[in-house]
Amino acid sequence: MPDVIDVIPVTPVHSPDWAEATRLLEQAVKAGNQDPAALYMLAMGYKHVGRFADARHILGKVAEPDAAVLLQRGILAFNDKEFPKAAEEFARAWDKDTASYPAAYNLMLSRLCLGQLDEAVEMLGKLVPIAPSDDEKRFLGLLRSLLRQTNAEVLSADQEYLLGTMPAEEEARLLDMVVGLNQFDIVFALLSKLVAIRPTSDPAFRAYVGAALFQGRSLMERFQWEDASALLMPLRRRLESSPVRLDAFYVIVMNNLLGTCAAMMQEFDRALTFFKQAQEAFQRDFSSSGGQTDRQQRYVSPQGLYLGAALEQNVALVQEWQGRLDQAEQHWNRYFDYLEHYFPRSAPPEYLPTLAFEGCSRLADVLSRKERWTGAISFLQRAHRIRPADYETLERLFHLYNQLRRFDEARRVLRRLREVRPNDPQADLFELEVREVRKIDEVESMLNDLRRIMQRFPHEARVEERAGTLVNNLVPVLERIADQYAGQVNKVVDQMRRLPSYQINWPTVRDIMRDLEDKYLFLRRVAQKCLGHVTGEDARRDLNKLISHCDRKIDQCHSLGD
Amino acid sequence: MAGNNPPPLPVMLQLAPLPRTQIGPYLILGVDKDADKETIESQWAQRLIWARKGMTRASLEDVNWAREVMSSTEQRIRADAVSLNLDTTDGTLRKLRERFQGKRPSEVGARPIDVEKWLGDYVPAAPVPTVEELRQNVRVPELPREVPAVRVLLESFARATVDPWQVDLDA
Repeated sequence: MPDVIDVIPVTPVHSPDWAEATRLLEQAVKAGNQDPAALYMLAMGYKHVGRFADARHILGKVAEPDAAVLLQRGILAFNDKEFPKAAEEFARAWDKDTASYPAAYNLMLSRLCLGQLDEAVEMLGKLVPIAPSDDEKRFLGLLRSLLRQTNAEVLSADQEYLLGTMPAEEEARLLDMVVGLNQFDIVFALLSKLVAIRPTSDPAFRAYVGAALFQGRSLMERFQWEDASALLMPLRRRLESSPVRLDAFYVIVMNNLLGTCAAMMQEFDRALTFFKQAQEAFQRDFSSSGGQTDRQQRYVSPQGLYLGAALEQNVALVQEWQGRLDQAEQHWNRYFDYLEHYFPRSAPPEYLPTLAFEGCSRLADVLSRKERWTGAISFLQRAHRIRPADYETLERLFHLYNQLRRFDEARRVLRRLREVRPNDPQADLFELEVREVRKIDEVESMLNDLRRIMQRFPHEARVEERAGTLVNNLVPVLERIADQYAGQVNKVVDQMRRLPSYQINWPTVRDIMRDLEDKYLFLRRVAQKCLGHVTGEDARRDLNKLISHCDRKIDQCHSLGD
Repeated sequence: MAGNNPPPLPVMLQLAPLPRTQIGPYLILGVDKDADKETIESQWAQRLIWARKGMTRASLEDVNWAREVMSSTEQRIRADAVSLNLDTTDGTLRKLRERFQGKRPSEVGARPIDVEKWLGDYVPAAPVPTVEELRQNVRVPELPREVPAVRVLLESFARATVDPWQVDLDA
């Protein structure tokens, strides 16, 4: 009979199961095991599963913490960016174990993060003897030289040579460390010194410019436009004179940040200069970049937005804010061209089309308000191309064509409106709008059609409102007709006054007057019909005046026609 | 005596700030144009704190307005159409933020050295049986070697003595 323990399959453990370990250790601690080692292991379990608060709590319960416990307390505080507390814990850990390199190194790091450069330099001197390897000692020496240089101490020729000739890996580690110090003033000062010592180093210069861009952006987040601008402007000049060729995207971002600051300070001309320089940097980079695939990867965002479009938008916006709509229109058109070109790459698919549509609609509004009808129509046409079935766009397009008396195009849009919403009463009303009304019988015919539509769609608020507007627009036509009739009456009366009675052809006068009386009666009837539909107070008053005028003229014509 | 009068001080004119629609919700909240909901919410919460403590020139009202705009898909895209672009297509600024704010921790950067105490040979204070003791305590039942085993099991069951007073007749 084989032994049971030998035949039970046991899965070999490849990676620690921290969750299970934590569960078991929790049970042990709950059962009363207050052994510092058990508490330490539980805290490590919590740390590995991301329960940092629990880890901190458990480590705090260790009555007499040793160096390892204090080191872990310090690490947790450091990761929470509580640098004073971290420094305190690391100092205690180092006190307990003076040979602990991690405790001493971490203490130096915490002091750096606290901006205590002198203390950090002092610590570095103590760190070197306990460093675990020669490479580490060399790195500490480099860091010490850099910190001393920043502290305005004069470096020896050897130290300067070491910093100036360090290999790329060491430079990368040094940069990574400096960049992560979380104190902009210190980081920027250290990087500035490093750039001065290594003027041809790409990574150092990139980190230096990157730090400034990051800080500039942070200042802008608090609306400190002047400060951000003051930080970035000297750097931009330095960028132009530096022997290091920086990635074009850094130049573009810098110009974008400076342009935005200038725009927010309402210095639009300066903003425009920066945004145009961003465009130039992009053009240079574009012409020197590789094939189509490379360009698509480099210049198109994950959302499908082309960099050229984003830069055009910046220029267009600033010109629009300046009121230079002519120039803004050109840039907006280019922006929308780019957007339309990249529609197939939009992610999500509706993002770019919606962006273009909303942008075009907005611009059509802006231009309409400024009575720049041609531009407004062109953007509305673009919006219509993007969403051919959008009723509102079609309606706006129809009104614009109508306003510009481009009736053929208005009718074409009207046909499309009918296709989109076959039974919409508005379309019938729009059809009346495109009708040219000059004569009184055309006015009457329009009123009859209007009545028919209103009977077909009773109690439709939109129809009633639209009908009211239509009739309001008819009032000036009626007034013009009344003026024409009055002119005819006056002409006859004038001739009658000038000529002796025997020279007047009375039968003709009577015929004309009777004819005019009929015309006035007709006009009065039509005006009366309009009165029932008219909505505006002004239009109502005008109509009443017109009716009174007709009454007077009817009397006059009647007396002359008898 | 007019010559002794100090020259009049120049009149300082201050421009009115741009309207919030022109600054845009993206700049007010400090988020990218493709920011997700979680980022917007956290940035909004931080801006509220800043606005209350006077750490930003943006007003509380504008911060709330920006969040409202960003939470509506339609309004957000309309704001996108009239907002300046700061970043490039590869997210240069975003990457810098991640690097300098430590959202992307590097292996060798300003990270503390994290060494854990080796406790592989830790022995708890409670008594633990050895493997030999465990082996002795495990009793393995004798398994019948005949096949089918059902017959053997039934026979052994039938051989068992039955106590007539313990038989449950209802069952």
